[in-house]
Amino acid sequence: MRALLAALVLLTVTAGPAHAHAGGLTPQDHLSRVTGIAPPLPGVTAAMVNHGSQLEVRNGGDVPVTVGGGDRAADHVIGPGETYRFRDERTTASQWEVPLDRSVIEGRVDVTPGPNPLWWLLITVALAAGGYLLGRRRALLAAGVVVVTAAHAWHAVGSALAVTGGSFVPLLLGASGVGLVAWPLSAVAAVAAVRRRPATAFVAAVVGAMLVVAGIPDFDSFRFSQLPFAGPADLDRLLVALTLGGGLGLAAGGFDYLRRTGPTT
Amino acid sequence: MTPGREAEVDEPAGSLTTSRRPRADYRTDLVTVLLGTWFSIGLFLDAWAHSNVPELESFFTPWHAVFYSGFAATGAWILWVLWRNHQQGLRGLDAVPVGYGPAVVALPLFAAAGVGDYLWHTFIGIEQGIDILFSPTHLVLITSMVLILTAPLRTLWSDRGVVSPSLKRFLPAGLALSFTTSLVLLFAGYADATVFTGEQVIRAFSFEKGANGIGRAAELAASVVVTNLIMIVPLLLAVRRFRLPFGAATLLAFVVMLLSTAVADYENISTAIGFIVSGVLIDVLVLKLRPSEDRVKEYRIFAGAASFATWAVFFATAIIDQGTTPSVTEMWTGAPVMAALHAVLMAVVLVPTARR
Repeated sequence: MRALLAALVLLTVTAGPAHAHAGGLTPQDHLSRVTGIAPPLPGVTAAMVNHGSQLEVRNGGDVPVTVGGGDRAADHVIGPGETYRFRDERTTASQWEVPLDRSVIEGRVDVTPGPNPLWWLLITVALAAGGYLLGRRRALLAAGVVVVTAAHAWHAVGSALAVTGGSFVPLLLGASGVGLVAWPLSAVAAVAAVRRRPATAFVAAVVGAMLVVAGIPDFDSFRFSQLPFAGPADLDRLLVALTLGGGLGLAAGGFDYLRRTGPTT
Repeated sequence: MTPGREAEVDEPAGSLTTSRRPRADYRTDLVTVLLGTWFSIGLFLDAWAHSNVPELESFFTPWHAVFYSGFAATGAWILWVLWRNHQQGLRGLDAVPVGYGPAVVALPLFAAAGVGDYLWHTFIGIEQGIDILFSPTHLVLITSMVLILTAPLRTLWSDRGVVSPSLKRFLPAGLALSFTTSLVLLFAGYADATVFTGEQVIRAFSFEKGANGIGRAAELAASVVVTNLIMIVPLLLAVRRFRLPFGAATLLAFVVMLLSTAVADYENISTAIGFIVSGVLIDVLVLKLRPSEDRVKEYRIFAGAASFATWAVFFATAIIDQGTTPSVTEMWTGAPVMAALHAVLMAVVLVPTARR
């Protein structure tokens, strides 16, 4: 059991990258926004997408429009009915303009301070303690695994939905990481609990450890204001806290259950 | 007991060796290597993405997800094996099967290197060229991955009762050996001859004699040396320990080519077919020569003949594929001889004299 504990603890504390927000988008305190097109062009709209990293121009008008200009190597012509999405360094300035035909797209970068991460860390610790207490009973462990896994899956889906211009499935795959293994194992834990198998606690501990590994890169969600998540930022922070804290609690609680119950043979 | 009969005898699950540590049974090793296959394919998909997907901006890609989920699955399985042994009353190191110790150490090492790789990609950037092969975090990842993947090989190697395994019995160890060879070759990608297309082979060894510009001739010549050593040394080690079953060399060639074609974006198919043909020829050599530590002469002949055949077929495949020979005859006729000499040298180093 000591070898198992050592491997499990090392896996948990050293963690590993497997999950965060999809599409390479990261939490931050600043967000670039389009404020308008001056003067307006009939049918043409513009918006910052992908967490303010790309400018998207939709041409719903009847004539082509040219976007770019300035020091860009080449302008791009957007035909009627087309959408063009691109990165432009100019959109990182506090007040910015990008030429669009005879008009300009105007925008600004808003900076919002992030929350105090201490509160979210305390919530995470509280959830870890709660997860550990679930180790008193096999059924509670399985229920905890399902809840924590659901939180992790929700976070992955929400972050994939926040990306514009990519296919959902590859984005979700990228965001899920070890979830590809942890999610099915969560179902295994539930089935094992229903059948009263001693493996329940072992699977719960492994899934918990995996989800901590999965959640480590998401610590940034606690300290930045703007999160690439399709939903309220605080909901995402709660999901991250559940993944990290709940996962840690389940790993500890599951192992404690194994230690207390001992070998079955 | 004849060697052939020994091949059919598997150790029962959880059987004890002279210490209290159990030896993993066949099915355990097979599951380990199949999960290792998932793990390895993830790495090669990631390598393909690094080489072929422009503007790879994110650490969180589907390819990384396959790679890291493969690691998670393999790690969970190895922990399950430890837990199962614990349930049977084994404690501490006694719960770790023979040969699995390095894998247990490598699991957290890999996870730690994964964190390091995430931080490296975040703060220093994502490698898309030769730098990918020299990134310190990648080198720790690959080392720990090799330690994890080779567990089934160590299981079989440590079982002195197995001398002449059947192909089925050898499969977990053979796949472990093949993936390890593939990983080592992947990290020598700057000198990997398997990714050359037939057209590139012909062009590399076609140059004006005496001219300063020899183009890719030096690159291909160096690649033949490096690739030859990476592919022949595992075979030379394996035939020292086992009387390899027919198909073992073909399996190694097939796995290495399956993965090298992915890295080459499937443009080196004719070259890959040539290596698989060479694998069959090497299997015939193993069958006929029966090389081993005790048969040093045959061992050295095997080393030279296997490498010569591999590179003769390599150039023959390119010539057939392109319908022409390279213009510098010395290069394509000399390269297989050079490879054979290097292999014989390796054989001499590995088995300096017959066991008395």
